[in-house]
Amino acid sequence: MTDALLDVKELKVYFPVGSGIFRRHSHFVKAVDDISFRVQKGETLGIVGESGCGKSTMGRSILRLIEPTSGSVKFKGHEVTALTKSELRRLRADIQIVFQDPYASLNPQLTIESILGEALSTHQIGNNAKERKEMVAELLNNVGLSPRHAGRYPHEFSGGQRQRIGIARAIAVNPALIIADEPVSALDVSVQAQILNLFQHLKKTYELTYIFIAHDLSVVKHVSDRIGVMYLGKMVELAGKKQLFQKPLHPYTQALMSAIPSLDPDVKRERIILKGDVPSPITPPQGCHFHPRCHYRIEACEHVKPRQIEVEPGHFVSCHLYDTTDNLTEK
Amino acid sequence: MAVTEEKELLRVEQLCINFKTEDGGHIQAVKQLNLTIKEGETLALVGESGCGKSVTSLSLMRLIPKNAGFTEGKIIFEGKDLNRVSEREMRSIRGNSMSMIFQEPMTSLNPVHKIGKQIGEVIYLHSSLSKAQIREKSIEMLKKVGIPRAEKIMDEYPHQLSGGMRQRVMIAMAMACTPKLLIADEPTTALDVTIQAQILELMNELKKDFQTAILLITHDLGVVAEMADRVMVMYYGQIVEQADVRTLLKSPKHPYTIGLLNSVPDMDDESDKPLVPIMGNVPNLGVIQAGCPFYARCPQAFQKCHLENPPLFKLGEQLVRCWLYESQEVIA
Repeated sequence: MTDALLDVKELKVYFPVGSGIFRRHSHFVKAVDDISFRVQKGETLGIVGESGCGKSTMGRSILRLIEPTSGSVKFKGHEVTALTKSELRRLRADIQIVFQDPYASLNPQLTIESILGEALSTHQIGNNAKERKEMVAELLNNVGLSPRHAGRYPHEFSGGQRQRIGIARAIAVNPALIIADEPVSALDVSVQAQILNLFQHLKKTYELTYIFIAHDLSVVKHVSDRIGVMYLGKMVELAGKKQLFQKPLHPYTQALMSAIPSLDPDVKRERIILKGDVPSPITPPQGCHFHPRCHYRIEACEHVKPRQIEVEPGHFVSCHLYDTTDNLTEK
Repeated sequence: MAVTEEKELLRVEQLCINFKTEDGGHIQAVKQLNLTIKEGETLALVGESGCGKSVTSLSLMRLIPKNAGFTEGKIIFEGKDLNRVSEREMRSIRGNSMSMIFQEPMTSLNPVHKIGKQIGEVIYLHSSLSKAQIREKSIEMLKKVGIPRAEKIMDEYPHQLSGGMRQRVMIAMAMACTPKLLIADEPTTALDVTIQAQILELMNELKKDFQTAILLITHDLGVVAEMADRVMVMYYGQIVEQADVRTLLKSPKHPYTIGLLNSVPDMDDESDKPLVPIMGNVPNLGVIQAGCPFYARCPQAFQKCHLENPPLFKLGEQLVRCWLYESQEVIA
């Protein structure tokens, strides 16, 4: 196998929490806690998890929009965490991000042409204004908008159209990797499908690689080749789409899948209803973070952090139930 | 479903909701809507943003401010026309025989009052129980909606609870007086799927226990499949299709309903076929157009659609507002 496009190793992002009235020693929110994965060129890695699991923080820390606390992020073999400011700027032409809220992520005072033109000129793409103008027109065409729209302002567009503009801005600089952070969750279902298809289409046209972050498992399933499931800062399972859906191993993945209502009234899923809420990430449970809600917990889960195990080639899970070398799991 | 004749609980006839605009005109957010809910039934109102589903629910509770808009038509609840009863009488209905839960449990709970006070208030207003009894009843309700350590939570503030817990509190408040009708406006949209599963299960349990009818407002067809007995699909302030849940999901007739179902990635579908989206965007209510409002986005539109808005046609028990079914019987 060739070198991965992106190689994330033991990535950690901790946020300190205020010392409080009693000035106790500082606590940390472990938003991303020891996550490792690779992304191959041309694939789509879906990241799924519920609110507060750290999936967005992880996406941003790859770009160093949020500085990682420790760990390594290698992009095309270069260590991202060691880059200087100007090198980082160049890197960001290669990795782009599409945000969730198309209303908040476009400058309301700029026309679409300036928004896209700015991305081009910042990264010195196109020789002069005229050339850039042509490129903007082509970009708009490629994302399904009319070049006539170039002179308009963001408020003149609907949510779906704005998301198209956000996507146009991301592809403007010919990135190799796009991190899409909940790109369709603010959209109506009929428009959501348009944007998902656009992502698929652009992937072919521009030979893109995606990290697609979403809370909606059916959306992630639709677009991804491989899927990582996150829970409280940990990647609890990572596998190919088929592997994951045919044989979900982690109890959390199983519960997550069973929780999604089926559109077919004849399909009666065996529902695993999880007890309780996601615990606070400031004081996550000892051992496996999922153990207080887990139906299959064994004693070890309460004290020992599970290792990531490759159960089948390419199918990773962090759960004591599958750790055969783990003498603690003896029942 | 019970074979015995179910009693009609709510009947809405020719409901129109108009909002005043800045230039002195008005836009019609809901147009001549008819609906009925039987006792103990779950009716789902489905549609995308701006289709008028939430305003419909607000108007049933008479919660649309008088100066913002005006409603026409009849809302007959347990034999009374709610558009004609006094404000005082309306207040005794709200929260008592008809109550509502909203999408955002944080903004619909009062942040400066303890949970116990907020639940107790509902019971206090609609019963003559003593203070101790009210507290007891509040705790009982919290336990019923599956809140652990209910006694403790009585003395906590909304911000101390998670989203799922707040929604449970909202449901406990709504169910405190065992209403005949519960209006649930996107009750799980703000929640994570595993919490959504908990809340939906809870609502189904309460429905069984209390024989409460539910008007469920949602954009999520999966939630509809899970919860509803009957479904009405709204588009641009109108009902475009109405059927029992199985018929609607298995053999949808209106091109919009078909489009919606094709737009949703199906978890149970193993093939990787691309989604079939609906072209264009949801139209703006302010724009008045002749013809079918779905015309511009419809893959099956023909000339007549452009000229005249179709009435509802009846196909067996299914109602469809589309000229493709013109040969069928017209219902209004």
